[in-house]
Amino acid sequence: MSAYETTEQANTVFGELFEILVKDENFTTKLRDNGLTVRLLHTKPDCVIFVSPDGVSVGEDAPDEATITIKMSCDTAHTLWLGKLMMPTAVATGRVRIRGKVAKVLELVPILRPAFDRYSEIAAAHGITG
Amino acid sequence: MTTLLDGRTVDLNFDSFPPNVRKFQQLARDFARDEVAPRAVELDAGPAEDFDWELVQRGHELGLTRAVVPVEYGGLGVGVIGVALALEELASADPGIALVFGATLLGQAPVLLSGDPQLQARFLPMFSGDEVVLACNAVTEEDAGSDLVIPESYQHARVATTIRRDGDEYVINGRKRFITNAKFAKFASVFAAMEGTSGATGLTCLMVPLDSPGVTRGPVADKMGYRNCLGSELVFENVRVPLENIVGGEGDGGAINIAQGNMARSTVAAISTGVARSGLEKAIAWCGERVQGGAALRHHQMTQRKLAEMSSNVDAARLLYRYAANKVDNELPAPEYEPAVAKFFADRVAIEVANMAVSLMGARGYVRSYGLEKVLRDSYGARIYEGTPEALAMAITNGLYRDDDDF
Amino acid sequence: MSCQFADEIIKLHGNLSYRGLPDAIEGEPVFRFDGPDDGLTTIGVRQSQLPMRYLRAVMGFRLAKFLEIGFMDPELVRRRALFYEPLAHVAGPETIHTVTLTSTGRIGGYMALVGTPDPVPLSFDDPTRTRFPAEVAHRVDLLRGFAGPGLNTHQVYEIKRLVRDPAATSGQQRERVPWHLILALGMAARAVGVSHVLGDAREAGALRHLRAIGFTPLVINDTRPSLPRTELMWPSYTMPEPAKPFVGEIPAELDTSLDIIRTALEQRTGTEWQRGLIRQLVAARTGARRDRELVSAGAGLGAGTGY
Repeated sequence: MSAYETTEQANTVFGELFEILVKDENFTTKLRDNGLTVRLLHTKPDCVIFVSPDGVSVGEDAPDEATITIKMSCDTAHTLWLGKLMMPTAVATGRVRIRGKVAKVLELVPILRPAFDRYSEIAAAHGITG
Repeated sequence: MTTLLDGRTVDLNFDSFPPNVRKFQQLARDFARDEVAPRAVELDAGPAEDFDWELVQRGHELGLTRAVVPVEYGGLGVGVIGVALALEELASADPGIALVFGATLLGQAPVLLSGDPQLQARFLPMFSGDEVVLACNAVTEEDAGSDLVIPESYQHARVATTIRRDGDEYVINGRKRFITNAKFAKFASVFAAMEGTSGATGLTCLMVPLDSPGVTRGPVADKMGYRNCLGSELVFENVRVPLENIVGGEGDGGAINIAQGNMARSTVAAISTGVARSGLEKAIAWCGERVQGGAALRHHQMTQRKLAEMSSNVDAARLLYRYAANKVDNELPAPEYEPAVAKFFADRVAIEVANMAVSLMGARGYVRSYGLEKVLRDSYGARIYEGTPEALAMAITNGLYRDDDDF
Repeated sequence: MSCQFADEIIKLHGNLSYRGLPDAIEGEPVFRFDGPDDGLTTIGVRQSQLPMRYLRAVMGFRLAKFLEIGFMDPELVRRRALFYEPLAHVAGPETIHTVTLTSTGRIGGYMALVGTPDPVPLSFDDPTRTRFPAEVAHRVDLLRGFAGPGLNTHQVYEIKRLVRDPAATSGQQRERVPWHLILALGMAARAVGVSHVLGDAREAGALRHLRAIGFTPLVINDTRPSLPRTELMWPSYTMPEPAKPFVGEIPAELDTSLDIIRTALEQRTGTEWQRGLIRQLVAARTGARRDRELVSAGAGLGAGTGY
């Protein structure tokens, strides 16, 4: 049974999560200094999030192109953000797949901390548990 | 970008390397030509335990030990492509010296892949000082070699190095063999089996400072080739490291080992390409000056056929490793197929080109002082580490039948 | 407070050396002194002159040393995964970093001169000027009382992170490192046109050395310094006998003092070396004070006395 049942649910939770990150100067400075934009393609259910230093776009509003594209299922995203799945494991086993400058992606991971800290509370508020 | 018939897009414009990558390649080229090549044959002839710290220190000063470390941690951030380009240059002078730096990269790889900022802060900046620091990657054991790079073999693997958890520490016991840089490395990325797991199914990666109590560095192996880097044993007797030294989780070591192997294989293909190029360059020079049958060898048709085979294969090997390295820099997890193809091809080319060069040079190809018999001995090295042809064939076949989603 | 991560960062920096630093800086240093007999080289450079690798090196040294002496919070360092002290953005004059290196490239001592955060020079008593870090921590205004024509905040520098590493030096190098740094302070002050220095220090620390070269700092007692727990250095103000804020005008006799120090550093090391130096500095200060008194007395007597 998937943690997320609908695209709307996934859009809301992951959208809110990345809104937290774009308010973090550390994160936006990193994106801006390196000319980075991130497109997250979630599957099962489908959910697209686009993140730039200027903000977050969700679903049909998300541009098609980005300098980094990350693909994973919503279940993988859920266990990652909960801290139950380690990022190197997720990547090494192909559960998370990334296209774009790998070096820049590896630099981004450590500064996702503010989102990790808030995820379970945001997810729970929208009925996502476990 | 070019679109292939199967729909993949590839960047084959290798003139478009970023300026910092080109500059790094040139530094490596100058160092290889001016400092490594003049000493390579003499050093190779020395005892197995000899190690040229002066050359390695110079390479460190050029950034060869921190090429793929992110700039934020004091590295050059030139990516796998930058490392590969540099290692081809070094290997054309001496592949052992190239592997000193390649093995250090491999030791750093799990830390890079970890995404763990504390682990990265503890282990990566040590390469940014002015004195050389080396690392190593401790995987191979007496009874476990290819078994640890072929996931299908994990359940059968006889891994003797084990890890158990004891409070807030992991305790390591066991022995690793043929580990490049083990004699002098500051730390090792050690892959060992969690106690209570079978074969390599519980393989786990720990970062181990090699000045930890209980670590013993064994004698140096007297090798056929690659004699300017040192391979030796590492023995662990109740070596304790903090829990924080784990990369990923318990049991993730297998996937991490495969991932870092995929990341590194294109650089090993670059080393093999460098070895092949060294043989080719000696053959070209010889065939241009040696006169037999009233003409320089290069004018004889059979020689021309050989030179053509050698040259086109070296160029093809070069294109393959660059293509693979470029892909590795732009995909996570690192692709399995392209790096395996690059190494599979380049390792074979190195041996074939070295063989042909020796046959072209005749007696002089057989005499040590001309340097070509060293190239032949060195050419066999790369088919042993980071994946034998058999292991690579399995990886390539997996890639042929992989059913990935469209990205 | 102990923390494994912090211990490892301290050890990391204890193993790093930077022989290439003096030759890697861009342009001419603000100051350079090579001790002919003590194996020490001290350079002062503007921050922009340091390649990033070496800038991180000195910021890492700072972090490690202040962790080691308990002035920085190891838990904050661990949580933020720091291996060098984060670089503060300074909109005003560039920070000047002074480093004393041994012949093997180990950092034996360090000091920073930090300019005002204000991009535009302001008068000392301008109510809109941004306080220097020492003023903020102690909640004092150190400059107002020194306001005067021709003086502005771009001529004022705070002495920060003055620290030595005894483990990096041996024998008499240890007693010479502070004098290298004091010489550098004076030479840098001359080079960039410093009129006043301020900071906070303990009597047995920087204040003692400043007085030795003729400074008569105004020291404010009984402040209650503190920093929020989000600041790395907050533990430094919980120590018994915390540092006191001070401000001092560059003394007129500074050049004399610097000449004495430089000459002493150029001489051979010896068991009486430091005592000899201090005697000379005291004599120079005493002589200068006597001269000033005579001049004042002469000025009072001067008119109509026939001198």
